[in-house]
Amino acid sequence: MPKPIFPKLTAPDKADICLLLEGTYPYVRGGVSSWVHQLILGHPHYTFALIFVGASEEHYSIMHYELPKNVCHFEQHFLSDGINLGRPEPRNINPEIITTLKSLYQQLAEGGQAPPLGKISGLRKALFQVVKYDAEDIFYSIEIWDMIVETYRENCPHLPFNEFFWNVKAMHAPILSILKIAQHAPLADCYHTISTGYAGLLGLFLRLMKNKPLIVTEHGIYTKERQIDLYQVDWIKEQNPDIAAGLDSRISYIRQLWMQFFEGLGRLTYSASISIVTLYEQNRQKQIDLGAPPDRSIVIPNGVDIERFVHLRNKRNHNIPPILCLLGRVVPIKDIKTYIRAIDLLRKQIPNAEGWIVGPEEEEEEYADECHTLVKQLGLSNHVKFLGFQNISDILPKISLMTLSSISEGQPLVILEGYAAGVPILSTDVGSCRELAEGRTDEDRALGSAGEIVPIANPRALADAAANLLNDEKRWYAAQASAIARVEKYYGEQTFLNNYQQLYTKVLAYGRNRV
Amino acid sequence: MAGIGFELKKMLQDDSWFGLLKTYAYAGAISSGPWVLSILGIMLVGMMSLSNQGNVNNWLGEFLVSVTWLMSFSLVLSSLLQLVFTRFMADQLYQKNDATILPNFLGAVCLSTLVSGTIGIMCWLLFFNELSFLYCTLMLMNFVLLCNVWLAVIFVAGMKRYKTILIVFLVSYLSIVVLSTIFQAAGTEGLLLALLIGHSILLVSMLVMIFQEYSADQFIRFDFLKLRNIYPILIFVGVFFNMGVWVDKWIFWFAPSTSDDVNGVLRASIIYDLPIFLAYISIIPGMASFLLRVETDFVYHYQSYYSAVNEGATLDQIETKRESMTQGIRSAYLEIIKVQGMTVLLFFVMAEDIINWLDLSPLYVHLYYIDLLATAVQVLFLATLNIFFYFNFLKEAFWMSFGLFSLNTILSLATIFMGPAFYGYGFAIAIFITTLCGMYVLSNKLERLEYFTFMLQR
Repeated sequence: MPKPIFPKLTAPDKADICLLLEGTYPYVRGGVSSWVHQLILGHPHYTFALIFVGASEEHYSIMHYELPKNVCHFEQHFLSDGINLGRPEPRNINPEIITTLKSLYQQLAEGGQAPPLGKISGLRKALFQVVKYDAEDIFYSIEIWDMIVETYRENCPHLPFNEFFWNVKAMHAPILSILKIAQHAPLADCYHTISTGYAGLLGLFLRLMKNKPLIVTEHGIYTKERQIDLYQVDWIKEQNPDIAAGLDSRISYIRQLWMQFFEGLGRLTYSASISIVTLYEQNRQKQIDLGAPPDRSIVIPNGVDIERFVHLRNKRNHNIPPILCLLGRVVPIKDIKTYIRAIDLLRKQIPNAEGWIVGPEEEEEEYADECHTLVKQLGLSNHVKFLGFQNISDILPKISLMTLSSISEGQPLVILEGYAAGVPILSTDVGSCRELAEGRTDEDRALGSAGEIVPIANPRALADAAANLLNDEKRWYAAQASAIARVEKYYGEQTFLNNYQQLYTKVLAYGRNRV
Repeated sequence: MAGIGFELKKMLQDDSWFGLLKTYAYAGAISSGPWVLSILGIMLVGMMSLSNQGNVNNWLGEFLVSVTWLMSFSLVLSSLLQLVFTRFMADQLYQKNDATILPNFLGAVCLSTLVSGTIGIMCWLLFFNELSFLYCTLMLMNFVLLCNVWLAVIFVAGMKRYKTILIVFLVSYLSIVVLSTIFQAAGTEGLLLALLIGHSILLVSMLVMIFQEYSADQFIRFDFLKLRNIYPILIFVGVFFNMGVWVDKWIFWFAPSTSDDVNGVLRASIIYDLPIFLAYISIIPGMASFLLRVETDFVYHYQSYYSAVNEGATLDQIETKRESMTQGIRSAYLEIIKVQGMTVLLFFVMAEDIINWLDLSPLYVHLYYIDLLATAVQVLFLATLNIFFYFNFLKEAFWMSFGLFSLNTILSLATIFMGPAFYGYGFAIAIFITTLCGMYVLSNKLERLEYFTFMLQR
């Protein structure tokens, strides 16, 4: 397969904004990727440079998006490919670096709020010292070895040393790769990373090396996602069989080390960012817990193209059909079974109630089969309908409640699309659902409630809330009015783009004034 | 969001390089084998001729000098291939590519025959054309045969069937002795024929052993020549080591003041050759104890060190293993020194008697003393070189053999000019200095062995 030719920017040309993308756009389909695409298309007056960072090339072979015209640069790097090191032989580095690194690690391990960049003593120094060396100098360094041994003796002298050593090495190898990427990165007036983690680290390096401002937008909270991964990975061997069996809440030092590492990366990204953006308040709070300074952290929600849905409002009948719809993949995280049980309870109150499930079933076929079985067992075949993939415009005018029974969500666009088409929400209390239903700010809350929020995994609560809304025409229409008002005021695509426009204007003005 | 943190970790499960080191272990232990055997072979045939004729001039006899030259140059030539091929074999065994071993061995035999044959014929045309056709033919055949014998020896030694090897060698050299008494009437040519038959028996027996051990689905392969399968530095280690132990002899063969013309082409140094070859007999006990120590004590500690590394030991435990390995090496050295020291003392005491018994000039005694010491130190040199091989410290092994070669060249040349009182000191000092340096470097390396084990990996 011929390698596609990507646009390349060469100094002294520079982009307005350089996006740092870890394991996402343009290779992975999904919420974050379509967001990035929307962001680039929505700012045609800016030029974007893109740096993609992934684990290994094999996972990212198909580009799912055509790069918009205002993308002036695209480069990709695969960290697992590692650095090609020369013949191993003893090397020495300036012992001063070790001192700097040690104090840096100590500060990173401290936790608490991320200090301003200038306060992290030695960071800049360490960076500019390390840049001067070849990768071999670091990887084969006697001084670094002594430091690893010292750390081991201080913290975990009873752990298998081989395991400790390779984990430490695996942890640090990508940092040097990232440093190399930063050295050769395209110039831009501001850098915008779409996660913390390695992309965030790249942002930090660029912030220091190019002296341009950095913004971070987090969709999910990277550090938390890595923590969940870390509890599940099996390459960390548990010494204690109780821990391995999940009988002990203590975790191995190696796991802790990795968590600390990712937390440290997150904190460093926050330190380096002039603005820290999330999609909704709950995640903002999580960022603050992980060290983001509240005064630099803001919420910019995603938006939908309202125009696409406005005409659907007129297609509705005046009476409210007792039809719930769950728009999403049939997977455990959406807790479809609770939804099915809720319909079972609901039909006892409203005999002609229906629950539709619109979305693909291929992702976890076993789970989908279980859902079908449950429907049969409960004798719900006339009430619960699996409709597969559908055009959302055909569905929205026919349903009365956009329902989510998920146990975890971010900021679900289906809720906003439902709002735009005049469909209120019935959702579990996850992610941003409550603030979408009830409002985030005081001004927002004044618009009223756009539906109902219920606890997770509670079919009774879900059924009762649905019955209340469907049986009370006045309440339902009030919720619809709130939904339309809320989406038009806060969650339009244009609002989203304007918010970023404002942010970029501010940050770019700052970035261009720097020498 | 698809993070990448965790896909990165897979690489740390790959610790196959430890295994590679383990299988490589035997490669070096045998590098010295053929060389020692060759010297002993020469001595055996020499003694035989001597006891038959009781004539000192026989030492200068065309046959013995011819054999020495054959041994010397065939060893140096085949050393180009020996270590590289052994390492290749170890790697193949480790990767469980057993089926490729035999075809590659045959490939190596072909290559060795082709190269040694070409060089032999060129020498014949350039230097030996004055000598009789029969003599030249026998010399050429012996040369090609010996090159292949050295290749097969190292291969067979890798199979660790030491007892069989010993028997095969005894039988072959015994037949040389027996045949030479029959053929000696035919002069040098007859003796060369005896040598040729004896070594043919040796080669064929070893081939039988090899064919018994390995199976193959292809006849011949040349994988060992592919660049990615080669450690070029091993070529240099092999060549410099072999030249290092022969260069002083060459110098004395060609220096007019110390050498005589034997047959118009070959030269020999009666004053230098005899004592040193006699001295080499004395290293048998040292070599034996060295082989025993390395094969048993050291390898045991070595393996337990690397298993500790691989199987989840703490750093403290690893260090303890390393210390007992160091202790093992130390006691191996002590053992060699003890055994060889006793042997040398014994030969010292008997030196004059030996010289008398062999009916040699008492002038040889001093040179013999020096050579006894030098050859004793050479056992330590070989031990150190082997341990470097075990740890894959190839660069250090290279500097040791290169050091031996260059020092031996310079110092031996110097002693020629300094006069007969200094003969032998060149080689002795060269081997002493390089051995000392090697042991010093080894000691330093062992101090930081964990650093080399973990940090110096790609």
